[in-house]
Amino acid sequence: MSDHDTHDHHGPEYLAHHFDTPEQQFESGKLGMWLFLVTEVMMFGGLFCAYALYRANHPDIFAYAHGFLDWKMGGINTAILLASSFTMALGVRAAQLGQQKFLILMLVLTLAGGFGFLIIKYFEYTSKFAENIWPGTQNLYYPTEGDQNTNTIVIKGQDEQLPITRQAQLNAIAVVEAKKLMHHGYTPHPVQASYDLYEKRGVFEALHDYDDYNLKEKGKETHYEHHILHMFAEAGVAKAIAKMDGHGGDQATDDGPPKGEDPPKDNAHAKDDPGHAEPKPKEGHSSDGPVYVADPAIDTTSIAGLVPVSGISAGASNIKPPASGKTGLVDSEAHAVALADARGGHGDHHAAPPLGMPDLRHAKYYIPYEFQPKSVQDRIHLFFQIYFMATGLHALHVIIGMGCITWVLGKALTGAFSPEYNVPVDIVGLYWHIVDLIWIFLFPLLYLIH
Amino acid sequence: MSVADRPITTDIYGEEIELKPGDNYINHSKGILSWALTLDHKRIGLMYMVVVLASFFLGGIFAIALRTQLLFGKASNIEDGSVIGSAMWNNLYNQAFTLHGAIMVFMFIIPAIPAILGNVVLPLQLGAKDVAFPRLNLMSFYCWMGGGALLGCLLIGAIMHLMMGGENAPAFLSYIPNGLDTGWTFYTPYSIQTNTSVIFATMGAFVLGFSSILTGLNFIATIHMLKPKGMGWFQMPLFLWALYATAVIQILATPVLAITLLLLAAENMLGIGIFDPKLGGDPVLFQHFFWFYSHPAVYIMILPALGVVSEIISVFSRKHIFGYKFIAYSSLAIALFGFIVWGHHMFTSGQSPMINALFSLLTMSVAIPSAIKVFNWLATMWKGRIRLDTPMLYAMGFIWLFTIGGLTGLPLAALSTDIYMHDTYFVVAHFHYVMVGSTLFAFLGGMYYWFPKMFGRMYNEKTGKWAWAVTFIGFNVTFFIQFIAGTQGMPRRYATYLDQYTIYHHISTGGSYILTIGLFMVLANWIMAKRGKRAPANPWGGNQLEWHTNSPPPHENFKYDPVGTDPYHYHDWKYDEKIDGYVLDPDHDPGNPKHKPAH
Repeated sequence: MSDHDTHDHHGPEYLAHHFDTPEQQFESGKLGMWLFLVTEVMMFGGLFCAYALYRANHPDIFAYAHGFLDWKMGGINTAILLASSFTMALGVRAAQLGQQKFLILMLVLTLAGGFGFLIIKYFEYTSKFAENIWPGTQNLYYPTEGDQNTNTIVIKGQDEQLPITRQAQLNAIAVVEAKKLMHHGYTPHPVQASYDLYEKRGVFEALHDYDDYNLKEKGKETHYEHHILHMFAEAGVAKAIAKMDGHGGDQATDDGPPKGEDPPKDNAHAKDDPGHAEPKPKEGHSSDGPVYVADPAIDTTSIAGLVPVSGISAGASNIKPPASGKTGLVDSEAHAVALADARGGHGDHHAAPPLGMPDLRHAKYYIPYEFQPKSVQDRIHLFFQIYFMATGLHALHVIIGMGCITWVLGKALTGAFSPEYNVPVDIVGLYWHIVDLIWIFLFPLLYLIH
Repeated sequence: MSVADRPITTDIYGEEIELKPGDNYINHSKGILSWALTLDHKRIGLMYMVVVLASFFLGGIFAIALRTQLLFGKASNIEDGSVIGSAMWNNLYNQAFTLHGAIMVFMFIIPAIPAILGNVVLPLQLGAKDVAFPRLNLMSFYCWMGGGALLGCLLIGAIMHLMMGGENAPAFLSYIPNGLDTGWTFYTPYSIQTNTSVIFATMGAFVLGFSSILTGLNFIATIHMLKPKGMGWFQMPLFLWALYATAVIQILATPVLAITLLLLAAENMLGIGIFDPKLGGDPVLFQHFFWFYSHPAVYIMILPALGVVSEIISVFSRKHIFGYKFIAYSSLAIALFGFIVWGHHMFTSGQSPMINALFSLLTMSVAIPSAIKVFNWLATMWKGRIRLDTPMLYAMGFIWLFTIGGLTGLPLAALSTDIYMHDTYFVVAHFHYVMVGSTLFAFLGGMYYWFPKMFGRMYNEKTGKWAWAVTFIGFNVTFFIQFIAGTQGMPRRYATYLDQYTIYHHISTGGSYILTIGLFMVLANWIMAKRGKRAPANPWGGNQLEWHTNSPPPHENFKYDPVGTDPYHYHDWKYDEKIDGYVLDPDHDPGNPKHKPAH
């Protein structure tokens, strides 16, 4: 300010009037930045605290919901941020050594890293949005009373927007989960029950064509999430699923008594061609797989010892397990068996899971959405809320950091920095490192849960 | 006296100096921009003073409004169709106590001492030319203005709704913020359900938090980096220790409030449900988050006050402060203890008995450093030559109010009694004694104490003392009776009450009117001081460095670089009747290059 210029001091022009020496000024600047970083840590600490609380109280939510995040995109972003921190550190060194051009190069690279991070973040977010995983009330898992809320699914390659209820989408997810799990040798009772139910209803038939198409087109690179999303490209599937609840119980009772055979597994088939995981649909209803009898008198709480399932899966919850066979256990002991099964106790548990599926070989347990207790179902959205709040706030910090780097870059282009005066590079570097560090914590906590 | 009109004052050696335009920070430069864009910590402090006192006035209006409602709110006054007890009456009351609390806490008590007195005095006490980051300091002020503007919108919106609301409300009214009725604590799930403007209020408090953080950051950096020659940590005036401890809390606690308010705003805007039990969230988590900030925040309010009182007690007892290190360390101890006691706000919110017992024990331990301070002040006054000037009256009033407020905190910290008294007027009285009584009295005392330094004029001592008496009596009448009302079971935050509580409410409301009169007397005294006697450089005889420069100080604070000495060593200052102030023998001023004694 002009009114400060009246003081006489004999230091260099960057020395502010109230400091005696440049060292004092630089040390003050750095101290101020460290104090600011403390406030950043405390602020994100609050979010981590909320995360810790919910994860401790509801580990099943996190075990289930994190499967929707793409750890590869997150991993790439981690690498990008680490690299940009490295270039930033090199930039600080360059500034201290007076290497002007190298400093500018490093700052540009750091900035590019920030852009790269944000671009990947953009794709991550939009792919979540496309699956109706939003922050706030539009989240697929948002607990709603009744089923009034209708989301829209955009069909790829077409302009049509398909209205779909949340429950239909949730049911579809349950279908995919059951299908995938069954085909890779996981046969805990609830999975099998839902698999059989959906198979009976002909849902897989509708899915089949699409899956074939999809796997071919995508070169077997398709993601679990994309499966769910693209499923809705088939309007018929969506409608079939949406109607399921209304007809489920009736259809299930139509079938004959259970047969004591193993569930339909195409393990050999899957091994031969792991990408082509879809079994050929049976003509009509299943004839050789086990079939469960729906009995309204049976308490829904008894299924595999789980607490009641929600209204979403009212159809499936009426299934009575068969009297014989290893899937017919209904007590809590059976639940333990089911969990052991889920860990890979049955079938080919050495096979790697399909791409994008949770790797259940190392998971403690994995229960499909449909068979999660309602207390869990209603809270699954919390994982995504925390995810969006934490990563959104972090992305905002990345943007602020990029602004600061741009400012330093502007100064560097005018040759403002020298071995004597480079503290702005230093403190902006500190800020960039904390942004990086926060991500280093966010990434495993959100993406790499087991 | 004609002295007042002559532009002549005295410097610290008692020599007359002629006041010329531009030789002090107030008339250093002219024009509104020279104030709005100033980087001078003293001017920023004065700007804070104007706006913070304005918010004190606003908060006070709401206090009087709710006390007046309670004057009429007894149950037997409620009839069918009467205004009293109607939905509008209750709504008005809820808005009044909420806005009173929110404005007083976020816009008055938290910034009052650090932002006004701290900004003006801290660099002076360090013998520095400015705070470490003058630009951040100005930014902090404008953050305060931004946050204040958001809360101001809320306020104007509330008035518009009051005047235009109802059945014939114009359509645009639904876009105007509709006040706030959650209480300043924003407890969920009510703050998610109310139709008042929680988002506006949380964003306002969020931005005000930035202001608080930047001020704290600035103070820590300044105290670390800008101490003068001859001043180590234990030669610092105790006000600086108190501000340092305060700044530590501001740095560590305020960000937690920031994330809490962000989550609450997201809860209201997007419905994320983290604090909403209906959506699987945890409302007690909100209380933990909120009090993790807001309990330390009550120490943000009280610690600077403790610092001000330490200065005043010693200077006006003409005696070295007793137990310097104990007072200094107890400030830090209070700051640290303040972080581990927040759970005592949730004794009835469903914590485990184990946690409750732990928090109860920790809460009581805060009494130890607080008592250390009180006993050290009393020991300082012991056998001192006490001058009963206005600042000293406020400081002694502070000890009285702080002791009552502190001791009544103990039954609230004890689990069994707290279950009974939770959310009664006993709690209201307790925290008003600590926060309003103590902090407000210390703030007023500090204002009087540094008034000559800030403005170069003396206020009227006689009016000052009368005003003190009226505020002191008014305050005690207002709030002491509330302890009794609370023990009789009067719950807080109720717009009406059973007839048995009538007498308590009438006395309390009467007291609040007396308090208001006293506060206006204070204000009048300050405004009248515009024509007051010109202040000498050191009217009270303190040896802290702010008294080693002219009143008001020049733009660059000191004519020469001062040297730190024992701030509580007063013997070199001699009283001079002619100027009604203290003067220093130049030979005893180690900082003065011209008067170096020849060795």
